[in-house]
Amino acid sequence: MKKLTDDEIIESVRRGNQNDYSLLIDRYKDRAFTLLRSILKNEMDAEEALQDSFLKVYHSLSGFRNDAKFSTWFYRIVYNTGLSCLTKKNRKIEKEMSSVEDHLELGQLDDNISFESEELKIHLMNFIERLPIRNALVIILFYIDDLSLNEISQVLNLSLVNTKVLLHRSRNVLREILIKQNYQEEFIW
Amino acid sequence: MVKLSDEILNKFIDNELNSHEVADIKEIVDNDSVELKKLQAHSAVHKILNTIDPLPAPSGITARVMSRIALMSKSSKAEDNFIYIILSLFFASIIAVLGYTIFQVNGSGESSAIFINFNSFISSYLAKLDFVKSITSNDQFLLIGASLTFMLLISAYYIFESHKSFKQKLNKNMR
Repeated sequence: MKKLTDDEIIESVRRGNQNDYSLLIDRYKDRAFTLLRSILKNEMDAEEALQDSFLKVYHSLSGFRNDAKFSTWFYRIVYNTGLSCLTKKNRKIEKEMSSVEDHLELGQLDDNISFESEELKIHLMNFIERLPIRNALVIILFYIDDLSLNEISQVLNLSLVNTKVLLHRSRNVLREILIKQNYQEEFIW
Repeated sequence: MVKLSDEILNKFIDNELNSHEVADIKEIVDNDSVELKKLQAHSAVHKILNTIDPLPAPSGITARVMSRIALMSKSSKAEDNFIYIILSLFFASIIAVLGYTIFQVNGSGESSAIFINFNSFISSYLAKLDFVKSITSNDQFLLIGASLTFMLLISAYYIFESHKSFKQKLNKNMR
């Protein structure tokens, strides 16, 4: 069966096939949830924000211009919804602005890290979640959501240069954590 | 000893270096185990991040969102109907007030004629345009008009308030 594109699904929903919207939800729910988890640091809040995001997207579909990429527009709504929830819950918003270098000590939190690739993935995901929000988001949007740096800069409302700097700094921090954990791997030429 | 900067390492990962620069890096890491480890860790981070899967969203989230959308569509229709009913009532009241005013001004005999023969009403009405002058000087009419207007405004206010609370209740139920 042919897999419908985002634009085809949107067109169908606009024509009145409300149930087709579930296809979009199924397609984006995991990635949007990952993004919201890294903003809200809490599963329940992330789920609530996820539902709100999908409702906002549904009600804004008529205003979506097809010349833009749906995923960029969608993640922007998810990001803004996440930030609104964060403000509502009176979390420390300054955490978003904190320096990524402050998180270098994260690698010292767990001495028993195994370097089996699956476990390393889980540990790395935990480290990502503990990064400042924007640093975590840039990593998630780049590696999990496959967005280009240009698209990420639109989602986060940052300049392209700043987005690139954020990505580099985040990678540097994660690298430092691995080095501190005495990570060894075969050389990859 | 030449050290690999973070900038160079990131450019290396993003394939932004030319072949000469890559050869330089190879030479550095061949002669320095610390730099080698740094590059290995940097590449590993990039490699592992590329294989990380998104966290699974809570089960049943699609059904929950779709049911909320269905509920909102239903309530939005109910809301539209409510507005139409209110508007109809409002216009009906205005018509009733106008009818009563005409009845009062023209006297009971003439107002019955209006409903019996519309054309004769129009002609008689036009012939009696002078009554407009008398309206403004008729204290009783002004009093009735003012009272009715006041009552209509009060009703409109309560209708607006009840609509507002109804809307809030709907929104609360949808959360």
